[in-house]
Amino acid sequence: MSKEILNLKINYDSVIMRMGANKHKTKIEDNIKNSIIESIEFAKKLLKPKYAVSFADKRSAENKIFLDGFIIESTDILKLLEKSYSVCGIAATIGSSLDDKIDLLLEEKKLALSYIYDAIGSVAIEELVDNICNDVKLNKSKENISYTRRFSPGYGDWPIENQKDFLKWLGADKIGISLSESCQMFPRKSVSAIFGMER
Amino acid sequence: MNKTEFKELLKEKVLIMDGATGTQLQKFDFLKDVSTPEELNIKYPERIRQIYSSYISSGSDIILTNTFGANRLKFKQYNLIGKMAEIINAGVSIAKEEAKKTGSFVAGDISSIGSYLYPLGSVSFDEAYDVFKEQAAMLRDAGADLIIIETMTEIKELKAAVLAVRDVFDGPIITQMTFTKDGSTVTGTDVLSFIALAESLRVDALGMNCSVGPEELLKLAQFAAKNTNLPVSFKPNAGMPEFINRETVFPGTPEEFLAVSLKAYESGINFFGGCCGTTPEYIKLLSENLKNKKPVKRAFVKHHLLSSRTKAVDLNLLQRPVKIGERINPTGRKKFQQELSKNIFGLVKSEARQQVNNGANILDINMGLPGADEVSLIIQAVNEVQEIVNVPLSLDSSFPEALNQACKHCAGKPLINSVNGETEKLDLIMPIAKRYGASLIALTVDEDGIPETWQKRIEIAEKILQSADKYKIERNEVIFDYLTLSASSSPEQAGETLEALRQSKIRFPECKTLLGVSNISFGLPSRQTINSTFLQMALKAGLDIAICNPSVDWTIDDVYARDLLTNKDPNAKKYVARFSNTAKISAVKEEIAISPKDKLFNAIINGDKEYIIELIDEILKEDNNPLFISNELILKALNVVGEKFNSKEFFLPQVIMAAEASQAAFAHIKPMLKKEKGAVYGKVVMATVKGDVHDIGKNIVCAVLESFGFEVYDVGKNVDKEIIIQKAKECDADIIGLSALMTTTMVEMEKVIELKKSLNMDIKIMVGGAPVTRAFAKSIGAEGYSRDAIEAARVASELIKRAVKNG
Repeated sequence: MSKEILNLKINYDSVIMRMGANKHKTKIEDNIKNSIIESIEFAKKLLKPKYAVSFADKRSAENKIFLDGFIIESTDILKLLEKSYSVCGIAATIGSSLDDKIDLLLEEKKLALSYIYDAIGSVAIEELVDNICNDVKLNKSKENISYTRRFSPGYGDWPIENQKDFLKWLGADKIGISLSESCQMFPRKSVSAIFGMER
Repeated sequence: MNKTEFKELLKEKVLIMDGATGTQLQKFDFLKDVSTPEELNIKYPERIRQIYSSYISSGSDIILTNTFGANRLKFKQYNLIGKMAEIINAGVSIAKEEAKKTGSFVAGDISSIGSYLYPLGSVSFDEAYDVFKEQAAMLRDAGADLIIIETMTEIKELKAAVLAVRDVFDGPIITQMTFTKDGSTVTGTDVLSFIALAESLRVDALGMNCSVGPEELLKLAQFAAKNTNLPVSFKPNAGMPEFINRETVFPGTPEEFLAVSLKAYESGINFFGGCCGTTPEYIKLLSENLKNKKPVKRAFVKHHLLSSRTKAVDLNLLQRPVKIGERINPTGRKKFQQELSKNIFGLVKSEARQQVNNGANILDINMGLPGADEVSLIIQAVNEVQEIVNVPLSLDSSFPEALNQACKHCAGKPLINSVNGETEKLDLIMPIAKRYGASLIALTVDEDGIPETWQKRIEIAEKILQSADKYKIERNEVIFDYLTLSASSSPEQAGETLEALRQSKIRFPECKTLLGVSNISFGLPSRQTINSTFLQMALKAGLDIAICNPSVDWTIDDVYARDLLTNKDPNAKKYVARFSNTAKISAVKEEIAISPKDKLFNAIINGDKEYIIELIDEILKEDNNPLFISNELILKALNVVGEKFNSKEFFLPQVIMAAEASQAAFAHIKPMLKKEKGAVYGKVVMATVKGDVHDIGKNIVCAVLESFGFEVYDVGKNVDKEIIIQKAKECDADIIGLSALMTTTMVEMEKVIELKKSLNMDIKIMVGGAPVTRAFAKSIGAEGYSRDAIEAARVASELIKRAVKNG
């Protein structure tokens, strides 16, 4: 697996778009632009990206999907994985230092900055997950496999309550991800997802 | 073992350290039934003894104690603070019992406190220092032979740790950081910056552990070996771990590990061991091949480093003149002073950026502002500047405590500006330079004031060096300032200064020289012509470093100026005749007259809150009508912001900034408004519902509502329905605003509404948040819904209007 996965670039355009900017219409003054660029550089110091992956062959019966000890009950996932022979699950996080910084900024009443950092974190975790998926695909590039799109617990009719078992199946605790009773992940910028592999 | 014995031992042989502790404990399932690995020391001592013993019998010369995270901050989470001394003592004692069998050494192990120091995180430097000091003292009392500070990722935390350990422990200190593939720690510190700090804090060995696997780490260790004279340690993990199908997999093999370690040996590395994923098998291989071997002699580059968090510069190698930017200084600058007196660092930051862009190698920071708290200002300025530019800092103050604090908060090896030849001053400043390993600018003045001759200046320089010797500061850390005096009032003095530079280079070749060049032109026209010409002459005479404005032209070399500076132009007659008519380029653009009302209106739109209060006061002086300011200026400006947001010309950060500016404005005029009629804005209780801990969105809505004049009571996140309702009753709120970010928590909103209904409360509820839709809001009986903060302000206004109409 490539070590480049963890090297997150965090593109400026992605960050401003994450905050709702429109590339053509939004006029961002230099001081705000500088502040965002500096925040990206600062935030990079706070990232501790980690990830875990699990692979399993798919078996389905009675509208359920069985993945090596983990069961999904969701028609959306059934449909997603209809043609898949195997499944890849991912848990990823950028660590909690950025969360801590955002909380600190909120405490200092620096709301605009905290929002910018939050957007940077979202872009960072998204980039990390993209990198992981691309790497999985790269490693299998010789096998002539096609892939479904990514899906996460809580999307469609995949119950978010399934997150607990899903994270367990992924071994997400090993990379420091935990779950609250209401199924929020900690660190906050963490993602779990699944995609199918089709031959 | 004392430091000298340690040094002698390392001349004789390389030392084998141990391998992983954590991954071994996991492998044997030894972490079962303890809350943290260190608790094993007292709860299951035989388990940790087994790990120690396995490394001792594999040939380790040094084993690390199981005290990695045995500090107050981490133990707090496990309620173990009361047992800390016992745990540390057992960790060391058991290690010593095992080490005794082969005559090995026990290194008291210290690592990160688990949170970053300010400004990366929220822990203060002093707090971190105290935590480390306590741990180090316990390791010392338990009898550790040496102390190792390892797996560090943040340079400021490392600084706190080394200072703390040094203050309580006389034995050898090894310090190791952990690096990523790009050659820096996750917080951006590269190997040379690490070396700069570790050397300046006088550790006994430095190195690297864990990180990116042996191959990649080897390059960094080899780089370190070429750039420091200190012993270097090499303790890589067994490759980058991968977490696949719930297993942690380390891709490396012991044989590969050994092959890389042998290369490291050839490069002159002194300590060998392993980190995560390595086992006694790895250490056995290292021992069989490297134990008791004499270290390979290595050549290294002798630097004179200064450093920041992410960059070290070598004063020996930088092109002359090395430029220290002088512009972060409020002296004689009104706007700068105004900002600092309000704790605003906008100009500090923009001067930092600009000077670095224009070629400054180092930035001088001077916060000398009469009547202000200079210590607090310089700490903040250091923290602000060093996170936006990467050049090292020159810390400039006449107050020893300001220098002391600035050095402490500097995330690297700084330059102190300055000491001079006064005995009292030397005895105040030298200890600070010594403590932080800073380089030091020394002005060649003394109790008798500014000496007129070069001879006297050299004499003072000699005195300063003797003081450096006394405080065991290396002479090359001292940088002499031979004083620049105004050429108009003392035309002969330029010659004295230049001669002092020449003489200094002959007598103290190890010391660099420096001048603040701009003084030379004081009181004369076309100042830069003289400044630059003087700089050219000084460079020839042996000047290394100039404190100057890097943003102006330093290539000018003018004959008239030369004549003046060599005292061939009495009273500067020819020079003044030549340049007095030169048009002055005014740096200050003429300000177009804008009325304070327009200024306030624009300030709200641009989210510029710095001068809001002054502007309001100015407007009120002309026309004491706060309602006008509220309705015609602030709210109208916010409407413009809202329109710009809706048309996508603005995005959310701009809305938030405008809201913050408006909040500041309302905070100022609300007390006056209360007496006015027609100033009803309504009260809103805001909360993120139970189970939900994401609240940036809710905070933004709070800010925007406040900016529209609402009285907002923010009860926080993860709030019980009873508390929300209670608060609404208490403050007689008109509206409750609820936010939720999860489908699992948005159902709480309905519970709040049900509770409200059951109590027959006359209060409107509005809801929002990522998963919340208009349809959902309607289905649970919420009176209002909004997609974003701007809409929230509109909806809240409408709900209030409706209530007023109905009421």
